[in-house]
Amino acid sequence: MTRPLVHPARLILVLAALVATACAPDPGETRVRFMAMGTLVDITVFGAEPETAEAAAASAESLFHRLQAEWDPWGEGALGQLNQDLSSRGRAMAGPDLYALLEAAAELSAETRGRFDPTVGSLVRLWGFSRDEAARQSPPEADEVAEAAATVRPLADLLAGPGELRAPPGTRLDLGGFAKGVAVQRATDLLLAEGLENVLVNAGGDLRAVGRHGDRPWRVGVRQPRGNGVLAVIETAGDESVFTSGDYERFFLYEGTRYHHILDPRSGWPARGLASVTVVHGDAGVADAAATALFVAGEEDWPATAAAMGISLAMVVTDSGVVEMTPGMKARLRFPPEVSPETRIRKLP
Amino acid sequence: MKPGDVAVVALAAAVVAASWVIFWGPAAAGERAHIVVTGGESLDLSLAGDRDLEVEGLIGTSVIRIRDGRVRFVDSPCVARYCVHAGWLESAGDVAACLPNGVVVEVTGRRESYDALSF
Repeated sequence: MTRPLVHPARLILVLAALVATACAPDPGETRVRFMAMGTLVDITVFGAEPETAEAAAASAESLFHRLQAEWDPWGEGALGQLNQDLSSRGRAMAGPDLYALLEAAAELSAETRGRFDPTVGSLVRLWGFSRDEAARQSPPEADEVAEAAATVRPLADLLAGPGELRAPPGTRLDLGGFAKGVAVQRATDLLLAEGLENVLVNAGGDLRAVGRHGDRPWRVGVRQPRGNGVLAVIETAGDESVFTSGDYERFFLYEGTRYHHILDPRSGWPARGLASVTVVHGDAGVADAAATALFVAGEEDWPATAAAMGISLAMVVTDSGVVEMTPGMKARLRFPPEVSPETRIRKLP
Repeated sequence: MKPGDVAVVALAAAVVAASWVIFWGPAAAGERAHIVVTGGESLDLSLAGDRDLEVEGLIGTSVIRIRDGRVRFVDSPCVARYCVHAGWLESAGDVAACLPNGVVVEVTGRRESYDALSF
């Protein structure tokens, strides 16, 4: 009797492997989506009962909404009240949680030497990049920008003592570039405390991923800053946050110039030189602030700012489309086959 | 090694190659637009046919356009219009939202090549 070329049992094994790698919807995954903090939040859980995952995600959603109310710079919550008090009396008291948050932000701000600074509230308002405002059709006048920029000062200078802040007239705090990161950090902590082990919390394209997606790591695509599609793919390891800041998120065009929402606290004008910055770090709040600070630092100074903040994994896209990255980031990301940008490795000082 | 073993090894190598393409290959082209309206119905539309769609949201009408296998907001009643700025969505997983109007547009496909998009 002639033996078959391939034993049927072996063939079945191989076909089984093929079926196992096919991309059918994964029953181990639970996704919950909601709107909070002015953005779309996606929570993905792997390897948990859907009821358990959905209940934990509902708690995380409540947390997002509570933090949104507390940290809205122009609302009635803790930060809004603090801004009103600073405006009317030049001094204000903050509760323990908000004060600790401001202390952490002040420390980060000092590390960036003012490239990230939450005292930009008046500037953000002037430029119309507060979430509840209509976008401007043209930039403000230069003297208006200078006046608002003069209210920016190191946040640490405002922290006068346990719970107390003092500031000259016009100073307003805006925790954009930090608050969302802290919210992502805390929401993920809450999910982990509920017993979940593999979670990804994505707040409008800024995320923290813990654990794995089944037998593989979580995979994160980084958007092309110009045009559509994915520029690079990063696989997270353990517990990592991936934050991206780009000039395409909120902007208006005036006489051919793009005026975007990432303002340089030192000048009051939109930062120039880079189109996007992506940072990977173990803390979502730090990653958030770093993405903003590196963008403001620009093409020349971003490695020094990254080093000052303890960031070893960073990638930037320059205005001319060159992709620059740290050596560590080079080892962590891959470009899809159809993407072949000019790249440069920038060592940290 | 017997001929059958060679065939098995070759097939296994093909599986590895296919996996590489699956995980690191080009982003999957989207096939459908999934539109969710807060407090309303969800729509699941093919990207194959060109059309404009008016969606009633929380504060007014969002206009969503499907052209050449892509989808985007072309108008919305929000003041900041970040949803319109988001431009064309074409790959599975691409998403844009008009938060004030409670309208979310997501491109879905046979396979998403990543778990989340950082932007």
